[in-house]
Amino acid sequence: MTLLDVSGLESGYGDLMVVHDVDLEVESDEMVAIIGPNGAGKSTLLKSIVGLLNIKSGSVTLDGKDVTGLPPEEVIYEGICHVPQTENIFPNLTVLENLKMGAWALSESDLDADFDDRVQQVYDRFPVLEERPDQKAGTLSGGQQQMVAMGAALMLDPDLLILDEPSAGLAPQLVDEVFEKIVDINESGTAILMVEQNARRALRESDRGVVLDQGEDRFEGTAESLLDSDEVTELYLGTQ
Amino acid sequence: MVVSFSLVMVTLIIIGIYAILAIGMNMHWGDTGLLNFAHAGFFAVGAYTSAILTTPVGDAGLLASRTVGFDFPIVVGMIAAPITAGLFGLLLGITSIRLDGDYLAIVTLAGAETARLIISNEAWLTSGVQTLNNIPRPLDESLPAVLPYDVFYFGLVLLVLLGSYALFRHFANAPFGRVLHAIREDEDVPKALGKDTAWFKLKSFALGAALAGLAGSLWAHYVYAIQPTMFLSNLTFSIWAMVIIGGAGSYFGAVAGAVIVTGIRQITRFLPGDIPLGNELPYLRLIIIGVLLIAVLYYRPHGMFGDKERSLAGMSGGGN
Amino acid sequence: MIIDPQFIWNGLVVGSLIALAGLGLTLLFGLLNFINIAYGDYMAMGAYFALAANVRLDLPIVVSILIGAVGGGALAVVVHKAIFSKFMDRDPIVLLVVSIGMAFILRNVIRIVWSTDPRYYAVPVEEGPSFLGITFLPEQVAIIAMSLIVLGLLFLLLHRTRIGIAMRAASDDTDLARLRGIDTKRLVIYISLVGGIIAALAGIMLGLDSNLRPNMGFIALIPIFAAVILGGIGDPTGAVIGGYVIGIGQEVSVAFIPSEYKPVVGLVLLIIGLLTRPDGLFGEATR
Repeated sequence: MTLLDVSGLESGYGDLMVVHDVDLEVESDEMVAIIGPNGAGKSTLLKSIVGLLNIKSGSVTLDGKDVTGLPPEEVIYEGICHVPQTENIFPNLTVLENLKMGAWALSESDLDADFDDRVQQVYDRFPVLEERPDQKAGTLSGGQQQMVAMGAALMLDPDLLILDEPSAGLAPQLVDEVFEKIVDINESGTAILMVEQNARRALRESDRGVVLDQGEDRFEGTAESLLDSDEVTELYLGTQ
Repeated sequence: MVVSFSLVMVTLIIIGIYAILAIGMNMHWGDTGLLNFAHAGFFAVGAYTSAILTTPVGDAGLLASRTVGFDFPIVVGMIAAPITAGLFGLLLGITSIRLDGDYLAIVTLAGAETARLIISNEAWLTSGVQTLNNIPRPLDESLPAVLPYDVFYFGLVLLVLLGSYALFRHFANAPFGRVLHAIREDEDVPKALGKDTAWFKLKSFALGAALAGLAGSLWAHYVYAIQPTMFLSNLTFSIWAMVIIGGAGSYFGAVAGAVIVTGIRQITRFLPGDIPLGNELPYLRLIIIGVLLIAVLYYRPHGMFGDKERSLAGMSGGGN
Repeated sequence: MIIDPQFIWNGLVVGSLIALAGLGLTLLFGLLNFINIAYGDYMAMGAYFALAANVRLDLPIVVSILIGAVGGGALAVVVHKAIFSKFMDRDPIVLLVVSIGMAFILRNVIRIVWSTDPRYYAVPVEEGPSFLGITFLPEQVAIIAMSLIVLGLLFLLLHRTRIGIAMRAASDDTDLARLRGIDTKRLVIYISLVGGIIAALAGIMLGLDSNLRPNMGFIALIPIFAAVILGGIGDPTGAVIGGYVIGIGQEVSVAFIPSEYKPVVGLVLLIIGLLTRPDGLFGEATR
């Protein structure tokens, strides 16, 4: 069942189009990685899907429903949660408050009923956070902030989690931990669309991949086929 | 509607002086993108410098508090005023090296208020809150009878106005001005090219302030009595309104804005005395200016005569 | 050298006022991202609304204060919806200049309606008790009590209610707040209401402490700005602490410099603060 269907997407900043005619699909249990060189428009693509940027043409459909151009504060109610690459936590709010804000879109009744359960689920997944619920998020380390960001996004139990370079700026063993958690989240039933600089690693963990180059979707296919392809390996997978 | 000749001349002189102030402000804001809220302070420093240097301490009676005064010729006052005002501008400008945008606005605003406080309190120098009287008027007694004093003075103001207009436009078109414009757009760019942007900002501050000081001198010698309440920060905001309404980034716009805004404020002098709300007129005028400012910003952010590209660009620089 | 405790008491009173006003200003700034020069005139309007209730309608001072606060809140919301909201997509400097225009308008409306003569609330003029060399005027006690209550309530709002936490979140990072589903446009209205009420209360306290004049708010703006920026713009706790620092600093300075120069103290503290810790005393500035 196709969860996310992006078709013919054209978007950018002002008059400058960065993403050109991109098609993309994510099934409801898949993990899809978007890879490509710097400046290819990967982040722009994500931002357009969640409504942070204006879409010039094309469509975005979620579970059959047209969500093209919805502003971010409405997109979240459709079941898409986005974790930006930077500035993805509220630095002056505590860890727990960040999670509370993650759950903002829950109705009052849902919130009262199982807020604590949801928080506990996040803590189970990221035990480090349970140790310091009242610490200001801005004082946490990079890796811990990433966990808060993801935890907050998971509070709503979204159908689709969109991650923008989750491993950026993290030390190697933290990168492993992050990917482990992402796979775990996927296996619990959340579809994942992720942009990653760590292309080889991302493809190894994902079901499918899309290669974005100069704003166009140049290659697309199962992760294995991309990893096996000489062309893709040479051009995009570098020496990782 | 009774329009007396002398009333027209007085109005023109006031407009002229405000126009000179607007030109100085335009170098700060229009050219360099500096949020300078101290202009009234520069005006005050210039006015008082010129007054103190040219008005001896008379025996104005028991209430006299000033103990410092000189008897220099008016020309000396008119030269010293821009110098002291320019130095004050330099001093405040130092803060612009580390601060920008709204922080600079607040610090300069406070700086001008401080200057006004000092003027209000150091009565031994400035007569404090009392009026500093008897400021000499140039050529007061020596004009030919056929030339009304106000016409002469307007000629003087006009001369300074035209001269400063030409001079500042020259600066704006010279390499100096180009660097200022680059700073306005994005200070990092000229910095990366090796320009000492701090020094340029300081110069801009000093020049605009000096001109305001000269305007202060012209003002003091015309009204021949000054007091601190003439230099409240409202004046700075009024000049801002002029520069914005006329078109930020353009000297012609600055002058036009001064004409428009001061015109509105002075126009009520020409109305017959007994119209309703007569007493509230000064306040209504200011409300009209406030409304006009907001309206211009909404419908024509580049002002009435501004250059669309240049002014809008000036609006997006600084303050981030 | 021992500082006269009277100065410290005065400093606490003035500090409370500045702290409260600063809190309102910093909350507004956190979400709206521009410095609102008309804030001082919100303060003045609140004070004058209370005056009208107190002196015109002969209502007791406490009721008048409530009326003034509500009036101030309503004013801020109306001004935002009618004017500022139309400029939200523009550069913050444009909004700053718009706020200057708004300040012109509000201040002169006050001049027209209430004239420029100093006005006073109808409160009994009493001697205050003296204790430990400090004279405690009733108005001063009222000011401190009011501030503490309001600050306490605001703290509860911002930290214990969902919407208050959302306000702080949106103030931290408006885009992220939107991503989390927070309707920041509605939040702006709430914050305008809260900010307006706070401004009105601060203005009323100012009026109680001295008198009412049309430019009362504008004059107070400089130490308030100083407190907000010193405390780190956008940081509520910083604004409050900054307020007390500036208030006490100002009053205590009277021991060393002529009292007319009190406002300069704020400026000096501000400049020192900006040059040494540009992100505010606690490094929490949101810009």
